[in-house]
Formats: sequence, C-alpha cells, structure tokens
Amino acid sequence: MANEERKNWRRRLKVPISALQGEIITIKTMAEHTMEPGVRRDPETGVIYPKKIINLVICRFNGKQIYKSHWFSGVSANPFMSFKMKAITSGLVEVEWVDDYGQSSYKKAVIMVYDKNGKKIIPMKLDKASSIKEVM
Amino acid sequence: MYLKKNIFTRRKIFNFILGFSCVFSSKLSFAEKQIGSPFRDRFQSYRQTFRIEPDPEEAKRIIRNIIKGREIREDLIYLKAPDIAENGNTVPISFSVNCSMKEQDYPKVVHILVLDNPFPEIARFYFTPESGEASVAIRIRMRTSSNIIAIAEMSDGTVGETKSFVDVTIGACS
Repeated sequence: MANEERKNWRRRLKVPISALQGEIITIKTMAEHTMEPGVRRDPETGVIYPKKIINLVICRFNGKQIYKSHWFSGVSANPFMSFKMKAITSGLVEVEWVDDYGQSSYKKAVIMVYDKNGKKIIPMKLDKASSIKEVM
Repeated sequence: MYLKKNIFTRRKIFNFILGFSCVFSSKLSFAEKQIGSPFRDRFQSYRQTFRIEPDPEEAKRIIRNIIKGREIREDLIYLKAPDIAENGNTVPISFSVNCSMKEQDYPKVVHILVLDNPFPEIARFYFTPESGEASVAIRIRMRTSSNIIAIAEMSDGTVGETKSFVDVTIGACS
C-alpha cells in the first residue's frame, strides 16, 4: 500500500534548457497516478473503488498563471500532457497538479532565453537599486 | 478603566446564524447547477458512481450549454486522433487552434467531449495570450468506438467545433 501511495506522487516535467526570444517551446508533463474513475468495481466483492483523480493542472511562469486545465474521469491513467509557451524572458516554470482531495504537488524548471546576439534576457534589471523601483 | 460592553447580544447572534445559512444554501444551489464541476465531484457524487450506462442526452445537453445557440465557425480548431485505437485506456489525441494569440483573438476555453462515455466531459483547457500557441496533446479513456468532439470558445465570443470518429477494439471501463 505504501508503495502504491508513493507511485501516485511521482511527477515529471520537461522544459528546454535554453531558447531564443520569441520562440514557441513545448512543455511536457507527466504524472504517475492511477486515475481511479469511480466506476470500476472489485470483481470479487462488487464494491466500487472510490473516485480519486487529478482534477486541476496549473502552469505558472514567473509567478503568473499562463495555462490551466480541468480534468475529469475520462483522462487516462498516468496522464501525459504537452502544451506550448512563448519564450519572452528567462525565468521559472512551475507546474502544479491538484488532487480530488485538495492535495497538490508541483515541479519546477528554469529556462534561459537568449537574444539574437547571444545575450541573456533577465526579467528584472539588477544593476542599480533605482531600476528595481521602476519595475515595481 | 474602559469597561467592555456585552458584544454578543441576542440580535447579533441571530444575524450571524441567518447569514451563514444564506451563504451555505446558495453554495449548495450553485453546486447543483454546474454540470461536471470538479468542486462538486470532490465528494464522489452519486451521479457518477452509480450511473455506469452512458446517457446520450446528457452529452447533448452539455454541448448545448457550451454553444448556447451561437454560430459555429469552420476551420478554427483541428483535432488529430487515431482512426483505430487498440486500447481504450490510452487514446492519444491532440488539437490546435488556428488563431493569432493576441488580446482579441485567442481561445479562452477548449472543451473535449467523448459522446459515448458514461461521463462525457473529459477536459477543459484555459489559455492566455502568454501561451504562445493553443495546441495540446493528451491521452484519454474511451469506452466504445464513438465521436470525439472539441469545442473552442474564443475571446471575442465565437465558437468553433470539430469531431472525429475513433474505432476502439478494447474499451476502457470509464
């Protein structure tokens, strides 16, 4: 039982390490989860297995939500999903999976975005203290 | 010294109880109206656990609720699904929406439905202009061979719809 529980919590996230500015990148996600639809019965006893699925997946880039999806019982077990994102600045990509019972798990990755001249594009200028105020 | 007055008068307590009951009852009524809401299904709704046979009228009702009598645009959304799926437990599908992802022209929601499943709604995808292209790949469950329908609701209020038929040899139990 403990092993099964541990299996339900394994997550994978694949984001390219670097990209050019304006490029559209693909983010691949995979969650190891026995998406129990709440319809299956035990063949011997006839008891229905309780429903337990992932119903919400959120993707955030630098803290801002860019993509979201609600899932229902029709999504397959060990759900794989891939979606796109436009690379404008380099930053942090976070993907969060939320369970039927409100239990959430997340995975994060960093992407570096380069200019045409090979210069890193960083969301906030950290050269001067005054420039931070402008951004805020 | 400042003397505290009696805060919990009888009138205030009555008001509290009234307010709480109002909020609680409104929540319950909202939950019943939303079909397939994840917040309702959290507590293993009776509808889902005991209605194992598919109900074609429910699928039609869900589609009607999404489209709401608007005109359906052609060539807006493309759905890619296999012709024959050997295993109904994992059917790989992908879709893409033909639009420029700007403020006026991006898909707010994309719904995916399988008509002959006991629970026809499968997933909803919410996009923003920051997600540079509205194309998603996902794996779904199918009970029998049936139509997959994808509906895109754009930000300017227009709707696009496509469908494609998939033959399933071994169905999933969902």
